[in-house]
Amino acid sequence: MKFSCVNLEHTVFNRTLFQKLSAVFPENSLTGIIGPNGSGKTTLLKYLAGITKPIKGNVYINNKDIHTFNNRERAKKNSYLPQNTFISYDLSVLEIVLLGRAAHQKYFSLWSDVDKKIARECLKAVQLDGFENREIKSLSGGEFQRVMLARMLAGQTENLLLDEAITALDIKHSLAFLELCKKLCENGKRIVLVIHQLELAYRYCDNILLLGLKNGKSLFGETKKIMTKKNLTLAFEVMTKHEKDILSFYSAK
Amino acid sequence: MISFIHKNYFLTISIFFLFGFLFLLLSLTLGPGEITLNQVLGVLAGYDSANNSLVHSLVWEIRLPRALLAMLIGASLGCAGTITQGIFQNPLASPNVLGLSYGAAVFVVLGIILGIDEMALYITPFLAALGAIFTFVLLYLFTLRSAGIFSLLLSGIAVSTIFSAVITLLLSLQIKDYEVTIKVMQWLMGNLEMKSWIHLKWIIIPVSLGITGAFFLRRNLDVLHLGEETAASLGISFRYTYFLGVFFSALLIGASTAVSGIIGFVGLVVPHLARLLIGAKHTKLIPFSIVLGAFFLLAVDVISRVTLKFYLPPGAVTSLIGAPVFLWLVQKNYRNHKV
Repeated sequence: MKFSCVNLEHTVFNRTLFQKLSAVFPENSLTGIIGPNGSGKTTLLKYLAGITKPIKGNVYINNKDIHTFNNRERAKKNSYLPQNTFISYDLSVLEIVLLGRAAHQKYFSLWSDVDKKIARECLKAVQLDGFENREIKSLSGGEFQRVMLARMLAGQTENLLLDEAITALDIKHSLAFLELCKKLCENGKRIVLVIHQLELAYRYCDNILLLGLKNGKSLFGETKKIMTKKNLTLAFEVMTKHEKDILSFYSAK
Repeated sequence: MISFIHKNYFLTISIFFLFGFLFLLLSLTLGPGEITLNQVLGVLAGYDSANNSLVHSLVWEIRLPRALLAMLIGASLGCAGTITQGIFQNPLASPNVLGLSYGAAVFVVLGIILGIDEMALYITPFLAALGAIFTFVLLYLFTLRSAGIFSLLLSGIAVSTIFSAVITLLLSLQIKDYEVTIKVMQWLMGNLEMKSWIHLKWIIIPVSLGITGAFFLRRNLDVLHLGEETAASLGISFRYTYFLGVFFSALLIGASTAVSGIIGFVGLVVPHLARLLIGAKHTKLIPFSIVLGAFFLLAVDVISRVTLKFYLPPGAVTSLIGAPVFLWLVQKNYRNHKV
């Protein structure tokens, strides 16, 4: 399956956040979207997920515009995790993961054993076996995000689009989460994630999409080629240093 | 106990059904007039020695339709409440926040004041249904077409505020007409007196449609647990869900308000109790809140029927039971820092 976007553009109050943004996301790759606050990362991810329609530009799956698919077909190609998920009522972990299979269901059918089996396998894949009957509100932040990942996996989509999935996690759980993503990519998934932790993006992402350069310019390419001292300094307005493959940052002044 | 119910859903719902049925039989023996369970069973089985006897007409023409109507209305209110709380993702929402019952009330009060309500038995229900439809159209024009959930909530509250102000205004203009005022007040308090099979016949179709609709929507409501954006990414259109949810609520609320007036709090408390007992998954929650609502209102009606000396409106009884439960829930949530 091919996944790409061509000439995407987004403007807020006459300020162009990005324009002429084109990218081809290779199979089995982990792509990080980085950029300062307000550079349009979340908007871009929603465009890629196909849940909002861009004013200019197109997103393609197998050279077919994503908005020519109907909602259900699209939901079988892309799954999306928003920045915050707030669940008002208490549901069990298994019930939440099963919701990821909504697009595969007929209107009046109940969850089948196949669905439940898939949901359990997905929980296993995120190392949460045994959590099926736990109440969702009793989970820690790291466990919750892994349940969300299992929910996405249950949809059996090739593309997973995650918005700041690790922003609220501590370093140990962030590393574990990214390791998991890496493993999923090796097993046929294509992951695009918005990420703020530049050091981690540098370590884990195959490709980087950098936003927040002047005049809505953006850069897409291999991580090492994009996350250079010069580019990061321009986009984030901080001093960047490379020390033996580790990034460090200093205030611009 | 709660975890037992969680694990044995079908057993629980069957037990509820069984108890509910026994309770229904029992309720037919209660009230003015000495009637035994044997006589009730005799009437229901159809072998009654004297077909026109007082017992027969009391059970078959008065108590049975009234009990069934109470159950049907309770079921509607419980179901509509579950839909509304599911749409708003907020346990404090109830069908009243959509203003549907007040819309129905405005039309009925107007009908009573204009004196057209006594022209035929169906006038008042017809006006109530019209009012609910009118409110639905208003909500559709203002928000359902394009806006999100908060504007739906706010316009619902605004619409019900306007309608209740109009009711107060209409009442204050008529305050000297004692008879009209009494009639309006009685209708507003909710009323299950003087009901017969014809009322059941009127509402059975909209209620069945609404309940079927709720089953149809149950997975959409479940997916909404994850929020609008995630729902959209899972192929579920939240606008379509809101539209249908409000539409089915309008059918259920319109139908029940049409025959019984405003019965408060059932729509708020029943989904709550059901959720506490069975969990938040709508596949289970919707059937359970229907059953629970039916027997809750039947019980309320029995209470107001056995207090012979004075008239107890079911609206007041539900609020008297419902409001303390509501307070308890709010306080409990407050302690857990959830509200």
